[in-house]
Amino acid sequence: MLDASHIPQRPLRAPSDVMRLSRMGAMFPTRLSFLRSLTRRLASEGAVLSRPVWNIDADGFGHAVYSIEYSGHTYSLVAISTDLPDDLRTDRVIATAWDSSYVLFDGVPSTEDVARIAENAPKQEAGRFSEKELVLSRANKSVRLFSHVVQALRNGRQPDEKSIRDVGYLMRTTAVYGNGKFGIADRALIADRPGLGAPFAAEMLTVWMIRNFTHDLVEHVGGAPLDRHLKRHLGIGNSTGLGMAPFLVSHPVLLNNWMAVRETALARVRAVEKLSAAQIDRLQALAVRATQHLSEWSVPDPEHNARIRALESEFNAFCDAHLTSDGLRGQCPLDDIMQVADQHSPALQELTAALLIEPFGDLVDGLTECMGDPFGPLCRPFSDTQELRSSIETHFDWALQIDFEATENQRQFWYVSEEKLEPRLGDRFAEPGAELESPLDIGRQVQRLYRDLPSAAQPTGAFRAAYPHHEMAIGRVGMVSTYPYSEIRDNLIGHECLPIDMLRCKLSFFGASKFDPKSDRWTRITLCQGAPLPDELTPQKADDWWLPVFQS
Amino acid sequence: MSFSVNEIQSLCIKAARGAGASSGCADRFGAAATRHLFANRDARDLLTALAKLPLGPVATLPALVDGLLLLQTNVEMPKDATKALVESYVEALPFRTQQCEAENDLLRAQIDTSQPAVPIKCKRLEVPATVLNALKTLAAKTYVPASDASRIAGAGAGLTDND
Repeated sequence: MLDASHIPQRPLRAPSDVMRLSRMGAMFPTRLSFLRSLTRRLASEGAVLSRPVWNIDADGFGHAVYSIEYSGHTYSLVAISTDLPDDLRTDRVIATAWDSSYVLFDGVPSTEDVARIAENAPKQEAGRFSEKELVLSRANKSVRLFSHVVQALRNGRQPDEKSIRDVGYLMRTTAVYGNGKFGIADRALIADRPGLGAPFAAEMLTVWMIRNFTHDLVEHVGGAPLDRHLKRHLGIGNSTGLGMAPFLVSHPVLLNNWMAVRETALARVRAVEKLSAAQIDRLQALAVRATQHLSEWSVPDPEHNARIRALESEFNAFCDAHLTSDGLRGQCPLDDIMQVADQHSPALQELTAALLIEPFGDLVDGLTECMGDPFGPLCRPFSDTQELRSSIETHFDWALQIDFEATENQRQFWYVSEEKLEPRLGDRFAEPGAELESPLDIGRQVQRLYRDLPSAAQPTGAFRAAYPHHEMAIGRVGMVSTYPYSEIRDNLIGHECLPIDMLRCKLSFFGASKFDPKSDRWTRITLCQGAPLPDELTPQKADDWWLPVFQS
Repeated sequence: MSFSVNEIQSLCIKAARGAGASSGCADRFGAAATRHLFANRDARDLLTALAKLPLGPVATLPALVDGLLLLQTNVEMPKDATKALVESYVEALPFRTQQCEAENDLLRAQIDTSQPAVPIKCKRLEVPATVLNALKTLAAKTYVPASDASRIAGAGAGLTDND
């Protein structure tokens, strides 16, 4: 990044605007996304992926080991491919078997390690793992596309380009576990290592390596290589459901840091006084790519597809009118562009924000160092209840205005299922279990806290001793006072809360694209589409894959 | 049996909620419990504390130890918590504990609020089987059994999630 003692920036967009579900649900990946950071770093190191073990039979079943040296440590992907009957294949967390399972291993696994992993990884949550395992995952085939590609290769030809473009992946992960789940290593054990301090770095490395395995697998079963441009367009699909949504609430410092970094990046590019001819050309080229990406993004759900088509139309018109050479030649042109974008839909605003950040790696890439949370919440307690009251009125004004007695404002409740110990969302008035509600009703909790505050100032210690049930609410008010982007400013138990808005926010930070919502509770996405292949990890080739498009 | 720190923290948070703690108190208990086990303190302290809910140290220690962050170096030791458990709560504060000792009925502690706490780093956390089973039993009280309605309404419902 540019070595400047002070980098000018415009004011950041306010949390009251940014931390809304409707905007979070319209986010796009940026160059700050975790997969982009990973591939930049892999490329800067000239990392080499090797495959020391390939024990896969002619039908594609068995196991393989890939290894990569990354920032001074060796990591290995152990991949197990299983013959799964079609009637057992499901993306739901309640599945008990998968087409493939994976572990990211710390180092190079011994024969005994591989045997132990081969025994446990296919069991996933029912298996047990050690601190040598860093990430646990599983994936199912896109059966139609996988079969089509195999058949085409066996017949001596390349698969149909339309199928590759429309589906975009050979396999879908349905969970990627890290940080101590099911006995794997705690994140704290590896977070100090160069390259793994970034959020979800180990998980992103795993997904990138899994993608390569799916390419190798289909080429092996098909008996011929895939054309490079087809392989590059084949990412890893992912089915993401409710399980991911509570993360944004339970990790407020991380959420704050991700959002604050992105907003700071936008504020910096908005402060750029004049663009060079090369920067103008680059922005316009990226805008063309974005319009092509939108045109290639179609989903089966008619309502969501209509929204994508509307954004496509809106963005095309916006680019024609404003992303012109004249429009980009003035003083602080990107600030002007965003001000115009603010008159349009949140989806267009978010797409434009991502576009404007993209050409300015020198200004913003260093901010990614601030996206982690190495310390936990560094909040000081309120000294008295008046300070607490004032903070609620400042940061939770949105919650104070909601009538939580109204049925529709408390329609939903979050809970953990006994069946699979995973988060679910229920209808409070139609399903049992609301008495065991998970504490995602932050707005309601803070309102209740506010109502119990004494009119005269009192030491918070005495108040907390009298009201221990307000501990979480007090903590959240303290949190947002220190971390302004830490709180989603919407009612997460109201009927209008759409969990996929939360999923899209987090997944956009991963670097996901081609969101394909299947309901308001789960979505398919594609990761690593357009990402560099293992032999493309050079700084020249590895970092130009924002909003990938199919290259014929 | 040994576990990751995160597994045990998650389990302890759920166990505290299952025992009747509020969500915020449960979160603080989870953080303190991992400090307690990491320091090889008596794991039975955890169950003793949970058994006193809705009263007792799980409900009162968060506010008590936070008093140390408000420039109070001495706070009154609670009578219903072991010194070891109180130390665990102090060490679970977000800032670095420089000194923590009980003298008579007072807890003396020095917290350096200019430094974050040192994170727990251990490969495995050991939990005695009896304590583990008790925690699991309490945690299970927070899980909602499936019903036909919940299964149909849940994520990825139906058979439409394959292609």
